Amino acid sequence: MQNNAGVKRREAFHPSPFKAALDKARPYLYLAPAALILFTFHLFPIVYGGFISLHQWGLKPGKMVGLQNYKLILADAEWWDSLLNTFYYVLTTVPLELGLGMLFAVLLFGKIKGRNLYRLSYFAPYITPLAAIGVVWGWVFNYNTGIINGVIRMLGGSAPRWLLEPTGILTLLGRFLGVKIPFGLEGPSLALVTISIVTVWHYVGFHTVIYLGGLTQIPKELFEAAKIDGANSFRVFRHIILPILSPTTLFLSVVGTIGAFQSITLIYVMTGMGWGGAGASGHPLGTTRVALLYIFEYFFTYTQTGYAMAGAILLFFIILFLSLLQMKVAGRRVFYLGEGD
Amino acid sequence: MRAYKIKWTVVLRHLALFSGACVMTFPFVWMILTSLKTSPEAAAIPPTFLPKELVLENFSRAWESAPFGRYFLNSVLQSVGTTVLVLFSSITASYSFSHINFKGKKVLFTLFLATMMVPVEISLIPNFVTIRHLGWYDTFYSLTVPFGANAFSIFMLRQAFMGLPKDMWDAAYCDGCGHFTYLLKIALPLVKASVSIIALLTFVGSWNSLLWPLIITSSTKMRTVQVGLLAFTQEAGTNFPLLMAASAFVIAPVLILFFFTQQHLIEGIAHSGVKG
Amino acid sequence: MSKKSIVLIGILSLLLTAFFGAAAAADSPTVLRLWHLQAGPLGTALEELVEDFNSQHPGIEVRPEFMGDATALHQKIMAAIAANDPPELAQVAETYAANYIAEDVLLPIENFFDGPNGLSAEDRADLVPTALKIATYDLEGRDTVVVWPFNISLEVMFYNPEMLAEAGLAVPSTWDEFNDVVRSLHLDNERWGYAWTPDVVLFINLLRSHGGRLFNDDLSEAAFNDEIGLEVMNYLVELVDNGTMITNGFDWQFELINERAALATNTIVSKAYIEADLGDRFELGVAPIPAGSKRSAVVWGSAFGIFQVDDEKSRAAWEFLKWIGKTEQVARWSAVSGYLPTRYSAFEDPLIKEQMEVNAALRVGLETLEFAQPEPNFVAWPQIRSAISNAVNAVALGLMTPEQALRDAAQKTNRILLMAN
Repeated sequence: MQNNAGVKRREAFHPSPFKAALDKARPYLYLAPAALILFTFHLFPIVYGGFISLHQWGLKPGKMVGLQNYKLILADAEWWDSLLNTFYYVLTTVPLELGLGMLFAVLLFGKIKGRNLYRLSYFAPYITPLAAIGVVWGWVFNYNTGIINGVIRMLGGSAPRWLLEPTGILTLLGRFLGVKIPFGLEGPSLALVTISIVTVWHYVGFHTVIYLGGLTQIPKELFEAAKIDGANSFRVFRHIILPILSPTTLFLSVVGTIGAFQSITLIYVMTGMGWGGAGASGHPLGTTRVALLYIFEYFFTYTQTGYAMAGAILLFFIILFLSLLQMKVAGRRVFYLGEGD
Repeated sequence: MRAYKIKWTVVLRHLALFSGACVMTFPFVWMILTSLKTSPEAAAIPPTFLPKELVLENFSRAWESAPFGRYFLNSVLQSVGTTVLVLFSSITASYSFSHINFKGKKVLFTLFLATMMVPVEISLIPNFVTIRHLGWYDTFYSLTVPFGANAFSIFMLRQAFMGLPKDMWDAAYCDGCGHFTYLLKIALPLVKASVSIIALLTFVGSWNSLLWPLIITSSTKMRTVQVGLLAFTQEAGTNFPLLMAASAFVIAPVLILFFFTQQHLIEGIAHSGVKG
Repeated sequence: MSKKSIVLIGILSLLLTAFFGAAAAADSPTVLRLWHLQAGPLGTALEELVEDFNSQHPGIEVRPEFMGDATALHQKIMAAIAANDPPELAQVAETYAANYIAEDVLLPIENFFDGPNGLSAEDRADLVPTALKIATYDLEGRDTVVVWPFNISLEVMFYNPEMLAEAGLAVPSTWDEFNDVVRSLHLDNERWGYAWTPDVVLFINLLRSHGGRLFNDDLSEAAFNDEIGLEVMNYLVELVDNGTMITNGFDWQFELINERAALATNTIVSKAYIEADLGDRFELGVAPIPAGSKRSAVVWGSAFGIFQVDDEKSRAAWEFLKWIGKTEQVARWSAVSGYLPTRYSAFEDPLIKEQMEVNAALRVGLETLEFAQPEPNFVAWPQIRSAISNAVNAVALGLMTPEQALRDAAQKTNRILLMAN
């Protein structure tokens, strides 16, 4: 635009009215393309959804019912169960994804033979279509014929029912250890945990890649300085890598949580394939029915759009609240390279 | 003594990486192996590991099960188009959020973030209606524009821009450098790693999308590879070898893309000689 | 160029446009979009049928558009209705048809039956009543044929004849015999009598074949929570204890194929998939679903619906449906798809007759058609289905007693019905 530095500098000190106006408009101009698309295709739908949620609405607009849909959904025990399942799902996937993602990234960052091939193999799961890979994992975890149960039986253990098991994981663990687990503390069903395992497998490549990107931000000089100081690898990790990756970690925990709230494809593929289609998702016994799946069912299987949208709005605010909370709580501890000095 | 020690950690690292890679690629390898089996062998219990006879025809049969040639072209157009749009919109927006102070920044950023919380399934119907009003049904626009910006990329690039030293901009400004030049010539090359990650992830996301392309298109000339995969799953069963074969060739281009992008993940700021 | 020639060219081009414009108007066919669910080879077969129709009917052009699975198609229809632009024709799955009908977006097919291009008496007598029953919905208190039946599939029993013969057992024809077979063939951790993915279908089959009902007459309350329902649930428990393998999704097919289970019950359409994976292991047996105090089997179908469009288009759409419902087309479709014909005369078609001689499934299907009953088809059914399905699963997995599960399901059902009315 302006290559003449001299002219530029003069302008900076004696801004013309045009330049001043441009400077004022600049941030908004830069935001415009993204804002146009995001507001039209991603924000408007939720506003529209909010409008629908106040109506009795199936396929077509019905009469306005106020907050009736919200009252109904809040009174439905299954809705609360699905929220609990969602939290279980988030808690069993996001921390593992973060931890393993960081571990893999650190291992894959430095110079090591076959690095490209390793990276490829850690990223491959993320790009594999879920419809195909859900089937393969279904075979792996199959109660009767799965490879895992084959090994367990070979070792003389009693094989778990994996995707068929609606009993809570803590109850199962308690049974194994001979401890009685009180009502309410059963934990997620083994079926949901199984899906969590596959979820972590699928998404960890995504986290690894973003952590790798974060690692590139670390100036070489820092490592060299640390080496001169004689710091061992663990101290380098604890005092250099971990703090520098903290913005990435915050970012990934927010994005990962949102992602976990919104992923139903795998659950759908791995538990919803029963014959008969309708209402067959969330097996066994609804213990894998997460909130979005609940909404999805009311939306597209029962065609109760108004009711489903009420759920969607509630879910929207829950995710928004959690994300802002994460940023608020973690935000203070995040260390940006560009800051301070 | 010292050489021995270094070797040890390398061996350990290889061991960790290799066992991890085995777990990560196992289902994937299984997919490829299944794609080379006959249907009866794929259904065998206990399963066979290596195919008894290699059925390479599965790949040609899978390829012919749907107009995959056209679908590939469409998917490439869709993914490249979306990626270009996303890069443009998120670079400018995230720069604005990270380097310029303006009124309403906080509110706008929160609004942008809020778009991330809207599940795709929910926006399906309103977006369909919008697309109809725009006259974009069954066109290339409807495949690309609605996903031509996302809060995720903006958020991520903003984090990267915020990682740049503050006094760098001050110095550039004093040298008479405006925002536009600074962004293009100085800031952008420094966040190359993040940009390539965004490009990669957007491409993958676009390549893997199914529901939206299915709903918003109707003709073969606009349909994408993921829609092609539906040909193998029917009401009462699935042809597994064909589904696996098709899945394998559907992900191949993305694997190749990854192989090339990952180079950028080591050549970030570390080589640019910037001092904080 | 002279002035004269310019004028001449002007007039000529005007004339030409007028001519071709008019010709185009006269020639432009009525375009009907047909949103369908047939993937892969079945999709190709449907497209071929449509091509034949188009070449025989120059005034109409049907455009088949594949829309994925039933859920995706439903989503698209919902979106299209919101955008005020539904397709002229769509294949609708039973699950969703009730919604379309309740909200008045479909033109009832029955309107065309008595019209100028209607159905003859022979046509009506030829249509399989079960097929019509699947397409019939309660329209303001009157049973009306709303959609045009296309696919019918029904519940049959699959078995491994070698396993039965080896144990000297006959193919079970009643549920008691079925139970005996399951028990006799069960070998701990090695072989199971029956492979089953717990679902609502077996429950409905058992309930109906023992004289039970799902709902009371005016659809206001659950009726399955009675002695018959309890008997059915207890029977399920017995089946599981006696050697039923609980499977996930379509896994029962693998158990049958690998000779780890002797019996399975499922839709007749599964046959082709099982046989593709079967190789030369054994010859798959197909028999009618066992009977209780009477015979009963669940039948499903998908049908074509005409959406609310103008007269010209709806007439053209009916023309197409009438054509695709003719014996020749019905036979052709059934032969490639494995779905049962919707007309009796199609069973006499050489194409099907030939198949019937070698394919026992078709004979079983024809026999079962006589007593098969569809699932309920009112708006709230999918939700109730899910509640009953949970009860069946809980009982099958031994997590609830039959009494408890039935009571729970009945309570939920009553609440759903109350909300719906």
